[in-house]
Amino acid sequence: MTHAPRPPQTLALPRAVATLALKDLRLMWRDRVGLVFTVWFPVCFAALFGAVLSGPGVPQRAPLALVDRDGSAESAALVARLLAAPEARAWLAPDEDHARRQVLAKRAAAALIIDPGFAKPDPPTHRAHGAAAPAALALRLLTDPSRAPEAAALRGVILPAALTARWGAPALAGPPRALIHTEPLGPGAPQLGAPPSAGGGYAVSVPQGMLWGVMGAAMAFAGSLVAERRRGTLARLRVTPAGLTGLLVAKHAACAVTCMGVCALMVLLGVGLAGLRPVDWPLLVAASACTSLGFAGLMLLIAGLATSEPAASGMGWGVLMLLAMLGGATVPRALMPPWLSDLAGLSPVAWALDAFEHALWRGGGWPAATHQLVRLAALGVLAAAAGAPAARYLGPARRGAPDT
Amino acid sequence: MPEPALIWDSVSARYGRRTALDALSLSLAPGTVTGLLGPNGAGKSTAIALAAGLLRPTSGAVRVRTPAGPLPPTHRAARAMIGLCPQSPALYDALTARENLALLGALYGLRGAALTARAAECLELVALAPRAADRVGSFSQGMKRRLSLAAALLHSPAVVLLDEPTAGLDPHARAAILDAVSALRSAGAAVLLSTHLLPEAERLCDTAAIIDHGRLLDLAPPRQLIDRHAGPGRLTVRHELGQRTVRVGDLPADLAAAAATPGLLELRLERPGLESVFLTLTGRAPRDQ
Repeated sequence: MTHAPRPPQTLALPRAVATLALKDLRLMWRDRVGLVFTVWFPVCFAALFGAVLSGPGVPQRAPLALVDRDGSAESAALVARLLAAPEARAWLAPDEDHARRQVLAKRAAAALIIDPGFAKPDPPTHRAHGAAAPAALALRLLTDPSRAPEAAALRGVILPAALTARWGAPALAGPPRALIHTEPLGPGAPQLGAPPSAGGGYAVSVPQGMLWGVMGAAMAFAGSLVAERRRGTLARLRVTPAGLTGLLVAKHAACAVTCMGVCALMVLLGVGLAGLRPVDWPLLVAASACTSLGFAGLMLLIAGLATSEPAASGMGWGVLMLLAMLGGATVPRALMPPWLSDLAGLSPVAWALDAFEHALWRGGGWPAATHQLVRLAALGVLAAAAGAPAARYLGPARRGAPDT
Repeated sequence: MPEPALIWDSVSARYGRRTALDALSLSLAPGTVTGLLGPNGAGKSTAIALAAGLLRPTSGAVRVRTPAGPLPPTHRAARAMIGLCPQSPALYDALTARENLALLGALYGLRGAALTARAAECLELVALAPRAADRVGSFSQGMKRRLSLAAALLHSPAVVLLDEPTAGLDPHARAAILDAVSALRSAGAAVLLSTHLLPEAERLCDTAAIIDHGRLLDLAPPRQLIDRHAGPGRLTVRHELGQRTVRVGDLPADLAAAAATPGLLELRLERPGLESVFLTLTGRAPRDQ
């Protein structure tokens, strides 16, 4: 036995944190069930929900911006019909650019552009964005891919109104959809005359999948921290020179890295398989980082408050599911009643989705997303600050007498 | 006498209104094994948690001797001097034995070849070298406890805190751990051994501290404790007409008298152990946790 006590050696805190974080990542990798929830579930969610959003959905009274570039009596009649239509909430926008911004800012589900030539007897071949369209009405519908169901409902309102305004009859022979050129804003390589592309639907479901992955990672790490208390590994690690500070920082870092990894994976899949073309990569990185920071902080808070693994799981999923449902990670906010949609603004899931959408396809850059990034980062800091003191008592002193 | 490696200086710890430890004063000298004995709920684990820096005392102070002087166990330099073997194995099931040791060794500043060599040495010590590459989840309880001890010794700490390291183990595993503890003492470590197994404490400990209800009832080498609280024992005399048992008062005189018994067939001296001391000091009523 060569156990002669030797002078103490300690590891610098950053190195200790890195060592502990690597341990957590290794454990995460070996936890197959946790991996399913963190990686595969979000991928499946994004794939399935993207497909759902790419098809026709539930019609409802949808906000519609109108732009009359034709200026004819027929176009004026169409505008009048749409303003009066009970199925839509329409208003006149001054120009196409303004209407486009209304859609991107989520104030309109779609914008109808009545192009010059609407009143001509034989509509000319329409060219826009370099893509040829079939012979059709000189109408373009700019849509928000996250509101495909509303856009579909609006097409059903616009078409008979246009036909009536143009030819005096609400129906015409031929495929009705080909008469209106639909242009989903954002990714998805819109083809004029085509329905919202698959990419459009995935532009909504990929950020949702990212959020599910982030929440899965947060839950997995919250559970692992509570499990470490139960198994006693927390006490053993607290006794090392790394101490509780190093332990918590490492857990937070490992959780944030995992969240970032899930976000990166989802974006890669979105780009590679669903045709996503992020419009602002730096913003996307910042959104991923702030979201990861926010939810890693929530992880610490949940772990600090939970008394057992089932409690952590129940509390975590209860809170996160509520935030997810409220924030639009299951049903898009556009499909919610207005009061619920307003309430959804309180959910960090909504903040993150908003930031991701601005970075992925909605545009608007930093001015549009900065306030959400700040909210997420602040949430992360505050939740970690609240959770860390609670986690301080994760040792035997917590909640009554220890096992003496 | 060498300076103590660890001192509890009138340490109290309370959980709400319950006092878990009441003005405990105790010290561990290098190269000795001190037994911490007491019934369930006596305060043993609290004393160990305080020494490991997992709890802060309500009053009093715990000090660890370090090259920089005496420091509280919450100090980084003090933590590096302490090796804790908790009651539960406290290991990562998903990691191999070697990976568990590598993680803990790295946190104590061991790196590279030194870490590899020390981990191998500790695995050898607890007879787990052949299972080094196996995941801990596949280990028996006894193997986990042995690995837990190896993890506590990895950084060659000056103070080793063992919280019931042999509880629930088979004789082979228990012997392996007790041999390792003996080796630690020989190497100069100050060892605190909390245990319910009084025969092993009697055999191994240089000093035994008996605590109950958070208070230190007595502290002395086991033999002194026995003499002080249980007496020299009972003498059974079997002779041709029957047998009689007497409580020994003056052993030489009692032996001489017994030897003079007519028709003597057998003389049996029963020496009491720590168990008698334990029951004398703490009573016979069963304790709840």
